Amino acid sequence: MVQESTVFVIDDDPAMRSSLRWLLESEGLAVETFATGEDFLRECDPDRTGCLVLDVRMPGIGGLGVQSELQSRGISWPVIIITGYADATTESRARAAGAHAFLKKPFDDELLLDVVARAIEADRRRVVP
Amino acid sequence: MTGARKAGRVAADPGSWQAGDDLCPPQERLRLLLAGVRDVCFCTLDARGRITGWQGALGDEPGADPVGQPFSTLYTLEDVDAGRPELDLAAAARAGQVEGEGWRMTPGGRRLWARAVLTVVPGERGDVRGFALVLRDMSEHSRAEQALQESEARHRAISELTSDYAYAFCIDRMGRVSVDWVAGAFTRITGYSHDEMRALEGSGGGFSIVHPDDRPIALARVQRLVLGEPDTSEFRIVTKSGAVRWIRESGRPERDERHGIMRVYAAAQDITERKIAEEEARARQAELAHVLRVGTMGEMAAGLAHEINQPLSAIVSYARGCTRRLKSGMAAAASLLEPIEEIAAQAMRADEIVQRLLLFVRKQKPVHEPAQVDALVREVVQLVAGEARKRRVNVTLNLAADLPSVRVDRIQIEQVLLNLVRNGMEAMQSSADDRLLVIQTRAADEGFVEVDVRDCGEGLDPELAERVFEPFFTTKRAGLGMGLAITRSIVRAHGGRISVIRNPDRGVTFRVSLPAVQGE
Repeated sequence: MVQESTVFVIDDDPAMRSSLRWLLESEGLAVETFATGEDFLRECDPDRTGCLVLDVRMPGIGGLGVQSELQSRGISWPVIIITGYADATTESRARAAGAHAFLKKPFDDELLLDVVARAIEADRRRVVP
Repeated sequence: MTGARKAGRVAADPGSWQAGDDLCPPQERLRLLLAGVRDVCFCTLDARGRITGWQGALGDEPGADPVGQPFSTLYTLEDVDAGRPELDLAAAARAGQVEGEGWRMTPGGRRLWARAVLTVVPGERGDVRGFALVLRDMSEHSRAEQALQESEARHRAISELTSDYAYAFCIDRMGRVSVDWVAGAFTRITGYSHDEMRALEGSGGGFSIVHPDDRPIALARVQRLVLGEPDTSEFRIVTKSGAVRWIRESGRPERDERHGIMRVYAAAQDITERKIAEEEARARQAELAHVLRVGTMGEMAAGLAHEINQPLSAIVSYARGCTRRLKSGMAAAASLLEPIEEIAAQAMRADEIVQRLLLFVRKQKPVHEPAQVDALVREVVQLVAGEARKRRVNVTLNLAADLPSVRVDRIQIEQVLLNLVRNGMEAMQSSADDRLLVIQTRAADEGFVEVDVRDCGEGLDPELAERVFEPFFTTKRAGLGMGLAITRSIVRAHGGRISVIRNPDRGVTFRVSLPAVQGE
């Protein structure tokens, strides 16, 4: 039996965290939220499965910083970047760092849920080939 | 003058001295009396005007004895040429007595300002037996009087040179104002004469010429003056012809204990032209600031778009989460309450951001009102919160408690702070870390409130520091270089100062000083 996958939501805006939890849980997903990249990195357990929903602009190391830190730790959870800026530089940097998807706020719920479902699926295949 | 008259009478009628005083005879008494007098002389003339007796002194060296000479020796040559001695004798013979003041000559030949009284000494048959002449040295008196006149003329000249008009008024115990005197220019500017002012006071007190909208200013002014505090106020008056003029009036109160009143000397200047120019400058300022705000808007758009996307995203997620639960039948109605409340709250949050933006971009006439500097700083920090996050700048506030208020146009001063904050954030663009922007407030000397905006960016070359406020000066690739120039002109229009200081370690500090509202 494969352990349950978790969606790790990392956003400094409390309304964003709580609304994403509300949306993702409506699909029966397990959700954990973090206010900063540092909080998440401190607590993350590489043995778990799931994906990240990661805000780019945050105080501290920010979304791209979390991505590169995970890379350097050899953790390859799929990362879904969400951002308020449709800024090409940020997107290409995120994608270069292996982002699974890049969504602009406000995003369509279908799109997000679809991307999250596929990310979890991709992660499962990684763990159980 | 009275002294001279008395001496004349005494001489003319020595017998009126108290009888029975036999210490010395009347003639001797008279001699002693006159010997003690330094500035009066008494002489007798015969009917033709020849001096027959002389007593007293006019400050001459002893020895000059005019007895036997014509009394015209006591006149100046000009007067002698004009026939004044003869005219005076004739006039005295006709009227019994004549008096006058003017230049005379002493027996010692000195020119002297004197008062002369020439009195007929009648003969037994009513004819003219001779004359008595009393001369009084008026030079001291006249010097004092002249000094007074000169001083008055000087004060009048000064009051008219340094101000457009001057006047004095009294405030009685009931707070009633009445005008004491007015300088001529008062009428030229207000159109009202002193008498007309008095008439007006009967109806509406001393405020009657003050513009109705500015009477509270005039009232507050009188209240300060009553307490003995000097005051300078600017207010409008309505002239007799109905024109509105701006007046800047300084008043210095002096307590008159004896009459229980406060007497106020006031000097006023007509500052209408200056006020009009200021008004125009302010309008131009508002215009410029608006242009800059609109320009700034474009640059800020990205930051604000991010900010408004936060609540919008949250709303979408809450709403879709609700519909999904409803469709799948997994939702108890009560469980939807909280997310729906959240939707409303986030919509309000979005609206707040829009309102803030609108308030900022709206073009309006500058309104100067008392404001708290720390409130302005907080507003600005909120406005740039999104951008600060984007630029990874940590904005730290170090605000002093109990700062006096400042009288400012909020929008314009927020513009100033916004420019400085954004400037500071841009200066730290290439810093790898420690992007720290500190905003500090404090009460400074001379009734100023200071705001420091300190960055730890690249700093400025010393020679560039002198030029940052010049129009079209820029070290940035984007932008017109008008930001700091406009910032400075706004600060100056508020009677404030702005300077740039290089920090000892890194970056620069922009310091804005604004005058605090007085009386706090």
